Parts: sequence; C-alpha cells; structure tokens
Amino acid sequence: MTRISGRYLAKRIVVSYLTLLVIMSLLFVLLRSMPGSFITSMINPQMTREQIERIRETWGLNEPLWRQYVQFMINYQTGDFGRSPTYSTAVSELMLRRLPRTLILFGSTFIVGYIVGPLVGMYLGWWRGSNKDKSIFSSSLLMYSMPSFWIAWLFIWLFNYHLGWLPSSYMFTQFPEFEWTAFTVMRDVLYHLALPLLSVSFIGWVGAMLIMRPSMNNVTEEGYVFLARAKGLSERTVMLKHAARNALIPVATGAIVGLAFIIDGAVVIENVFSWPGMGQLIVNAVLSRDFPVAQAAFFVIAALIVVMRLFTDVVYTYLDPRIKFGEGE
Amino acid sequence: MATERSDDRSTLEAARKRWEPRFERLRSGWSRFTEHRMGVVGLFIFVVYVLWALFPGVFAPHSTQWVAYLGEPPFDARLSAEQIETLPHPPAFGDPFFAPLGTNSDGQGVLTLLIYSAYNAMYIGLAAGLLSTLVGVPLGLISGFYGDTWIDETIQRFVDIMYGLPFLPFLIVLVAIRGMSTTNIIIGIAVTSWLNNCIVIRGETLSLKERSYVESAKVAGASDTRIIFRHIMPNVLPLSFVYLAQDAAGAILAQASLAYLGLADFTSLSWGIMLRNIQNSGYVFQAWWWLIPPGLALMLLAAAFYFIGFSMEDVTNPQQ
Amino acid sequence: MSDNQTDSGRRRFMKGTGVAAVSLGLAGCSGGGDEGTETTSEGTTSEGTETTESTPTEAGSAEDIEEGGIFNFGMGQPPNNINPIASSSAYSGVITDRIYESGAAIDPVNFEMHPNVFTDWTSEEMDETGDDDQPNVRLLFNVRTDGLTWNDGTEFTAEQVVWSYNYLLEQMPGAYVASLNAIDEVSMSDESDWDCEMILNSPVGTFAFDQFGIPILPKHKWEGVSDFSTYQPYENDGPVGLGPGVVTQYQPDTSIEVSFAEREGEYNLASLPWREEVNGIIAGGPFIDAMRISVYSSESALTQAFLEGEIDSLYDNIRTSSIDEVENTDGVELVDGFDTGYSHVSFNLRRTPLDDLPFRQVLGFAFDDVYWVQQLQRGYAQKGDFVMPPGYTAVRPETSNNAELLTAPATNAFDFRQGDSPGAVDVDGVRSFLTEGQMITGEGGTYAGFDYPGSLTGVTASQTEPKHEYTFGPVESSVLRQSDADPDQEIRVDGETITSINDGPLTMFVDPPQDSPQMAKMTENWVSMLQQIGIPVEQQVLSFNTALTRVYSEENFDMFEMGWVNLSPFATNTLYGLFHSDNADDHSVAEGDDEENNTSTSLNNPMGYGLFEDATADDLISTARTSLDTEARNAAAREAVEKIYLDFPTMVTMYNVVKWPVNSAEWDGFLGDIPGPGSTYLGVQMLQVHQAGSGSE
Repeated sequence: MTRISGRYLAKRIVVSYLTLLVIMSLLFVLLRSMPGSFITSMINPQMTREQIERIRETWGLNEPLWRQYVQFMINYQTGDFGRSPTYSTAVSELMLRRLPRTLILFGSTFIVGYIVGPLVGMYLGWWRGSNKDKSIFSSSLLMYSMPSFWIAWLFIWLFNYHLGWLPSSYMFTQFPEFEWTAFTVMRDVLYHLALPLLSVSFIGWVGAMLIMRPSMNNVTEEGYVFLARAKGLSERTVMLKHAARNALIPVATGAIVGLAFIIDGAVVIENVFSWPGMGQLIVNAVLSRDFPVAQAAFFVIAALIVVMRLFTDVVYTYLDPRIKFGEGE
Repeated sequence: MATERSDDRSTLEAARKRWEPRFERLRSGWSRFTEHRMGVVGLFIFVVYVLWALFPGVFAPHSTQWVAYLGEPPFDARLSAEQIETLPHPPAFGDPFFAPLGTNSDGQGVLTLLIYSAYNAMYIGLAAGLLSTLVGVPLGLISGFYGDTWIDETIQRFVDIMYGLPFLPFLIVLVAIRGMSTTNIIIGIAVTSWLNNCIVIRGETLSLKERSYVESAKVAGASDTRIIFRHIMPNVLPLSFVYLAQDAAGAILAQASLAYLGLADFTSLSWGIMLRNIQNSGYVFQAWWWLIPPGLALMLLAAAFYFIGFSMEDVTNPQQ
Repeated sequence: MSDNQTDSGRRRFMKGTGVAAVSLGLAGCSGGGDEGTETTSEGTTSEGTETTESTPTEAGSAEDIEEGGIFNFGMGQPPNNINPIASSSAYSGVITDRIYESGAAIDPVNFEMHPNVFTDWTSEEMDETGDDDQPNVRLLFNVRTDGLTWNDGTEFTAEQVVWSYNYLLEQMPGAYVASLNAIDEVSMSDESDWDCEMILNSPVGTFAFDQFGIPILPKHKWEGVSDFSTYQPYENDGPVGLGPGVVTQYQPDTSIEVSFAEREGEYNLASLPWREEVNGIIAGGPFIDAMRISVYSSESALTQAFLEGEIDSLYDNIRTSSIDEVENTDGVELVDGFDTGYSHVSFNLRRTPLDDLPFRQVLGFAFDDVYWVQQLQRGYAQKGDFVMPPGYTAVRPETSNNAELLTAPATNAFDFRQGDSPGAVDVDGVRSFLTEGQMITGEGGTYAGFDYPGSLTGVTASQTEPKHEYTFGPVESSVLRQSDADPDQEIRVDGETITSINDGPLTMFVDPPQDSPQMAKMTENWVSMLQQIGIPVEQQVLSFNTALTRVYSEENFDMFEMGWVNLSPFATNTLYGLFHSDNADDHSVAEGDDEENNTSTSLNNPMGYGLFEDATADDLISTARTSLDTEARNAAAREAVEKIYLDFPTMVTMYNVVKWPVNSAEWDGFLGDIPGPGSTYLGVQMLQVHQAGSGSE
C-alpha cells in the first residue's frame, strides 16, 4: 500500500540535498564574515612574517575565498570534515565523541516530553473549556515561560546544593570506583541524567501538549468520534482509541520540528550541567572562530533536521489516510 | 485602488458601513476574550509591565544610581570594607536601608533594577515579535496565495533552508557578526523566528483562497494584490496576532538565553543580564533574592504573552 | 658557570605569551589578598600575615612522608589537547607539565635557575657574528642520563636531546618560536667535558630560561612525525616525556588522570640537591599516586565541586564571592599567592591626543582606583602601578632606593584625583593640569593637587614638553551632550574638539562582562569621569576575538583593556616583548588589500611605544637584555620599568591577589607566597603535596 510514488520520493531527496548544499554555502559565508579568525590564537607575537605565512598556508587561509569554498564543498561530499585548529584533532572524531552525549540527554528528554505532553494534551483537548483544562493549561504555559537555565539553577539549588541527592554535572562518575558492567554504567548514567532530564523535561513537554490539545479538540467534532460514541463505547475508549490516534498526527510533525529546537536547549543546558555535548561544542567553536568545527557541527544538525523533515513526510502519509503525496505530479 | 468619492458624508457613511461589522466583531471578540480568565490575567500582567516600562521612576523605590548604605548620588562617603562585605544584601526594610528585594553585589536594589529592566524586555519582545510578523505574514500570504507555483516553491525552499539552521547557534553567529547591541539581537531573533508565521499563514491562506468570496473577487477582476491584502489578510490577521504574541514570548526567552551565554548587551538593564551578573559574580546559590525575581519577571512576561495569545486563538477560532 | 647560576632567566612561563596568556589574564579577574609579601632576589621570602599554610615547613625531608593517595583537581576549561608543542593553553599545561621536562628549572621562591635535565652548562661568546652583527654565543651542557629514563621506561641519552632540539628547529612550533629563533644549531660536542653544544645567534642573558626551557621530546615517539600539530600523543601510547607522570586516562572534555605511581623507569629530578636548599620546597616527590583532573563547564560548578569536597583543589584561584564561604568551611584553606602579571588599559600612541603625555596622564587621574580595588575587587587586588607585579621585587623600581613596595608616593603619581565628594573626580584640578601645560616627568612637584616626590630610579619621561595646547570651551560633541555625566565644558586640542580630529570620540574597547565583569563596571565609571572632565569618550563592547584582531593585528583602536599573566620574573623578555619598538608595527609596510600601511603580524606592543622619540625606553630595554651581569641587568630593567610608568603608554590597573583553595584536611605540603601557586607553579605543588598528618608536622 505505497502511497508515495518513487518519483516524488526521488524529487524530495534531491531537493533536501540541494537544501543542505545551500545551508552549507550560507554558513560558509556567515562564519567567515565574523570578525577574527582562529589564526589569531595560533600566532605568537615573536613570530616572523614567514612563520605566520606558513601557519596560514597550513590551514589553507592563503587561498582565495572562492577556492576555499570549493575545497570545502568537495571535502564535505566525500565526508572529510577536516581538522580542528583548537582541538587539533580530526573534526569527525570530535563529532563522534560529542554527538552521542547530546543524543542521550536530549533523546531521553524528548521521549519523556513526547509521552507526557500528548497525554496531557489529549486530556485537556478532550475536556477543553473545563476548569481543569483552564488551570492545567495556564500552569503549563507558566512552565513553558521559564528560562531553562534559571529553572535548572533552581533544581540544582534544591536537589544538589540543599538536599545533596543528585549530581549537578557530567554524564558519568569521573573516576569510577565501582565495577564497570553494563548495569553499573547504566545506573551511573541515569543517576547523572536525573537532574538535567528533570530540568529540560519540566519545560519541554509543554511543546507537545500545545500541539496535541487543539488537535484533540478538532477531532472531537469528527464524524467517527460521534459514531464511536453512538455505538455506546465508553468515553475513555472513544478518547483513547478513536480520537487520540487521529489527533496524534500533527504531534508527529511537531516532534520533528521539535528536534530542530533540541540544539537550542542543548546550547544552554549542557553548559549548566557540564555536559560536554554538541551544544557546548558549537558555541565554543563559534566563539573561538574554529571554522572547521563550527561548520561540521552546523552541518550535522542541519543534516539531521533536513533528513527528519523528509522522514516526516513519509510518516505523515502513513498516519493520515487523507494525505497522498505524489499524485498528479 | 479605492475609488475617489467627492461627497464627504457618503465617504463617512461608507466608512462606517465598512467598519461597523469590524467594530462589532472586535467588540464581541473582546467580550469573548474577557471570558477567558487566563487572557485577562495575561493582559493585566502586560499592562503592569507596560507601566513599569514607561514610568519606572514611579514604581521603583530608588533610581538606578542608588547604592545601598550610601543612598542617591552625590555620595558623601564610600562604602566601607565591612559594608561591601555584606553585599549582596538580603531584603531589608529600612534598617540599614530600604531594599525590599535586597541588593546585588554592587549594592544596587534588585527591585529597582527589576522595574527598570521591564522596558528592555518589552522592547525586545514587541519589536522582535512585530518584525517577524512583518516578514512572516506577507511571505506566508504570498506563498499561500500562489500555492503550487514557482513563487510558493521558492519561498518554501527558503523556509526549508532557514529551518536547517539551529536557532540559538545561528543567532550567536549573527550577533558575532553584527555586534552585541540590543537592536542586533532583535534583528537576529526576527531573522530566525518568522518561519512559523510564514508556514501557518500559508496554510491558512491556502484554505481561505478557496472560499467563495475570494473566488467572486477574482471573477470581478480584482488584482492579486487587492485580493491578498483586502480579502485574505484581514482574515489571517487575528491568527498572526496570536503568533506575534508567541514570538514575543520566544524573543524574550531567547534574549535571556543569549544573556546567559554572555552574548547580550550588558550595558542595558535587562533581566537576562541580571541573571548573567549573578552568575558572573558567583552568587547563584547564595543570593536567592537576586536569583529568583528576574527569572520570575521573565517568566511572567513571557507567560503574559502566551496567555494573551492563546486566549486570542480561542476567540478567533471558537471551538465550542 | 655551574649548577647554581642565577643570572639567567627562563621563558617557559611566557610560553602562553601570545593570546593564551591574554585570555587567561582576563579570565582571572578576582583574587585574594595578602599584602605583606616581599620576595627578594637574594632568596629570602618573608611571610605574609594571613591565613594559611604559607611557606616553609622546615621538615623538607622526604623520609617521613607517607606516599600515596589520589589528588583531585578541577579546571574550568578543557585542555583541548595534550600535544606539548601544539598547544599554548595553560589548561593543557596542567597535564603536559607533569609529562615533559626541560633542560633547566626555575624555583618559584628565589627565581633562580637550577639544573634539571641538564646537569651543568657554560657559555662563551664567539668571534663570529650573526646576521645582526651581534656575536654568536656557544652554550655547552651536560645531560643527566643517570637515574632518569623516559616515562615509558626507555633509556634516555644525550643524542636524543640533540635530536629533540633539531626536530623543533625544523618544525618551529609557535609556542617556542621566540626561543628557537635565537638558536643556530645544536649538536653533540667535540669537547670531552661536555655532552652537547648549542650556538646562539646573539647573546641571550636569559638562555637558561629561554632555550633551556623548551621541553625535550622523545625521539622514539616523534621521529617520523612530519607535522607536529597533527600528532596525537595519547593515541600513540603517550605522551612520553621525562617527567614524573604518565597519562592513564584521557577524556579531554571531562576527566584526565596523570599517574605518578604507574610511571615506568626512573625519575630523579624531584630529588636534585638544589631542591633541598630552597626554602619551602620539599624534595623527593611526587608523593601522591595520581592526580585526577575534572573539567567543569562553569565557574559555579567548579566552585561548587570544591566546596562539596568533590575536588581537593582547582586551577588558579577561587572567585572572590566564595572566599568567605571557603574561610568558614572546615578542612579547606586558601593558599596565598601573588600575580604573575598585571591588568592594564593601553593607549594607541599613534593617535591624537593620545600621542601626548599630559593627556595620557590625565586618563590615569580619572581612573578611580579606590572604587576599582576596594569595591569592585572587594579588596582582593592590589592597585596597579608598574608593569612588573609586586612579587618580582628585583625588577621593581622601589628596590632601587628601598622604598615601600606599592605604597611609596612615587608609585602613586597617577592616583585618582578625587574632588569634593567621594568617588567624584576633581574636574577643575585636572582641567588646569592640562591647560597649564603641566606633566609628570619624574621631577618632584604638585600635580593636579597631589604631591609627587620624584622618580625612584632617577629616570625621567621621554617627553619634555606638552605637544598640544589644551583649552576648554562649549560642549559640542554629541557623545558629551547626550552623556549622563553632563559636562559643562569640552576639551579642545589645539583649538579643535577631539571628535573633529578623529571623526568621532575616543573609543574604549570593553570585553563582554563574562570575561571581566568588574572591568565592565569600571569602564562605565571611568568613561563617566572622563566625560565629566569634558573628554569625549565612549565604550564599545567587543568579543575577545574581535578585540584581538582590532588591537594586535590591525592596531586600529584608541584604548583597550586586557591583562598579562605568566610574565618572566627576569623582566627583560617582558619589557622587550611588550614595550620595545621591535615588537611594534610602525605601519611602514602595507600588506593585504587595504591601503593602510599595516602588516599581518600580530605584535605584542600595539601601543606603538618605542616608535616615537618622545615615548620610548628602547635603550634601557636593550641594555637590560644584553647585560650579562644580574645586578646591572636588574638595574636597567628597573629604570626601564619606571620610564614606562612615567611615559604612560599603558595604565596598569591592578595585580591580582591569588587565593588558591586547597583541601587541607587531607593534604599537606602546599607552597604559599609564590606567584601563581595554583597555576604557573602548580607543578611544584604536585611534586610535594602529600597526605596530611605525614611528614611535615
């Protein structure tokens, strides 16, 4: 039951690829319009002009900009991300080290948010207008309005500083004394994850709720819900089985869009919790003008977003029988 | 486009005729809005902040020049070492000085700073919200109206591209290029936050243009511009106000995040900067009176925008 | 010369001298204070009055010290990499300094050079001359091969030292380029008494600090590495060096372990006889099994971790806001130390009216030192005067006539000229200083209401007459009209406003407040004072990288603030690097696309001091550099330092007072009252820290 034509898919893939190329070009220009360069941090005042030239040569800064650009685009096509001048290591290595950490932190908050959010949204949407809806909805908006680092500070203050229950930094015990088994490592990560997870999820779930609530509300007026009710099914069954299933479709899209915002959260939250992931990496790279790292970090995120958006289209068609892509093309 | 009419009275009449239903709509909208307690609360907070922003001197206990122990300038002494040691000072009500929310480590009153900072937050929220609406709405309208043509395609691909750029890191790059002034931060936020408006308005326009009155306007030979701005735009305006409110809230929080990362204009008075300063000086876990108020103020303003926005959504899109 | 030669310097701690040092100077803006420290070059350290653990625990014997334990250390920045020659970051140094050793070592108490990997050395001037007509110098030295092996157990030979130097000469890594540039060749010596010889292309009085301060790399690891910057020591079973430690865990973003217990082979550099003779140094270490380094992403997290006992100490110092808390916590103490550099505001001498001495001096009069030191720094700083920190007494002008360090009237020539009410500037006094054509040249007198006794060393300022005529007239510049300071008059330089001379007001570059929050506040205050006087000044916030480019490579600025750390205690290198015309761009060569004459080089003297006849200390600096006699060198350095003070190309705003927090309940043996106890000389601490209750009581 493929509802997507091969041609349509192919077209979407090509467009997505081109989008990525344009994003990369844009970034190349933007990053280089920032004043300063990583080279400043490598030049020693006692260096002669020749020595500075040599360093510039090594990092390819003497080439005309267009040639640097062409080289950069070609390298990326072949998966060569270059070397980082500040970390003096291959950029790809750096990415492989950092990306999983961000994925663990934000993957788990993502899961929590997208379980709690739609559930609450379902409930509120179904009972829209009730007093419960009003009070829960407005308090969740209050949560949504909190600066993430501020609420994180409050949690650290409470659970770490005051109660001493949870650690406020890192993903692992730095120098573990316990035996290194799958179980102990899991437990250790969860222990360290607790506080950041709590802080991010505290705000994060609202996003999903905000999509689910109106969507749920819309389907209450649909014929099949009416029909299900008429059949004498319990309110609960109708809500869960018939209404919620259909109301979830926009949430799925929202989830993908939400992915794009993960990195925003990461930038701040990773800093608060000394969680050395992509968010910290990208900010430091921009601030220290480490172009190879900044480019690669932006690229990885952009690629993730573009691919996920492509993927949403596919998910969409499977979830919603009314949407058909590729017809009439 | 509007044809000239010589008769003043008929102009007035026509105007009244034209605007009457709109006023009516507004009035009924307002009464529906006031049914939402959330919206009213939001509006109340908003008004309080507007007053703070416009007349900080009336509400604040001191001027921003005020220093604990010394009072208002010109000072007749310097702070003694013992006095400096007590800073940041917890809330004090007259003894040794009056500072209901305590002071920061420089001896400035937290409440005073809080009130004087409302202007900055208001400015950033409204300006960024307005800017992203001004960019997003017209593009969304055009894109939707010319749905499935090359114009739509171009705009949508552009949106795709912008979507691929992560908001905060991209903002950091923009701020790095253009410098850390409040104006640049507003522009940076607007550049990255119009996308949602554009997409939503486009969807709305797509469905609106199928409506019969748009069809009839087309048949009557109205130009595209006229149809877009005269017939479709008024119908998407309420929705765009909803998004303006949300963008404003988003902008305020984004500025706070930038401030946390040390990328906001620190010479201005803002809540984000107050939080940044508490971190700079290292009193995050020592001075709750300095930590909690700016965060609450930020939260309440952002929430006020959300409250107003979501209540308006209900008004414009009545479900029950 | 023998083992205990003193008349040489070592440039090792200037290795971050470029940007890394600047950035560190900014990062460390708060400190703690002990004002009573006096250190003389003769090697006596009189103790400070406060808290701690300061200096010498006489039981410097290692026998009764119980070995073992793991010392946990925290840093606020990741080390990025542990390649000793590719990294100029001080955070990398925390690790690499435990791994690599160099020919000679400096002791932080007397600032004397001592044998390390090289057992002894001698120098002689040669007949040949180099490119610059200066005589070449031959250095002969012996290498310690007994009792010392590489940390992987490999045998260590003198040939490897020659190889190491030649490898570096071929690669020219930026961090050591200044020292390497002076070396012509290194080879095995023909003379029977000596293992190796090094030819320098000019006399360098401080060769033991400079050329012998370069780390020695293992041939068996580095041979075949064609590009040093891409080499990853940890991935190649390293890093391998002659030092006491080995890296046993390396997660650069979070945690690193340097083990001393697991080092292979032999290490005897911590037991050399000279260590027992230096007051406070305990020979025979390291006594701990390992040093574990945790990286935290924020200062709050780092401080928090220390207070909770997660770490035993942290890099550099504790922030001011936590000093009280540390003092009130049981089991932790603050080790006192002093600055290895200074914070400053510097002026571009190429611009009018910054080219004129009285005008620059007025900028100093408007800087409210009391507000800066007492309020913003909360007393945990010392008011700045000379370009040498107070710990380096031998090269401070006070030493010339036994004047009181930091407080002698001659060190306060540019104090804040306070007006009627506290914290307000004496507008009239300062204005008449300018209009009457006064300037402080080194002669005693009363200037803008303050007495000045005359210079300490007898030097006078380069400039003898004011260059411009100053008058005051109606306020015209918009920056002054819109200013909250609301001046009643504006300055005219030769009849013109500064805004019309420079197409705008003078601009002061400020760092974003997260780098130096206090300086941001201070600049606001200072700008307001200057505006009250009627001088159009505005501030501009620039991120660190932008400011570096504008200042150091384009020299396109009016005034900027930054800081230096890890300056050489021997002064000559610092003075030459920061204040000699050789290190200033005279804008005679045009490079790049823009028409302005400028070079791509990034020189450490962006002020352009020394380029002009009426603002230079070149002669004194050169005398100090080429002088081989210690006392003559120091005397010339002191004169140069005071001349720079009077010429005022740079306003030294303060020296940090370091408070280095340590867990004293569990650990003992910390060395206090030295410069940078938790940063520059962390290595010394790690060699002698031991479990509390053993040894030293």
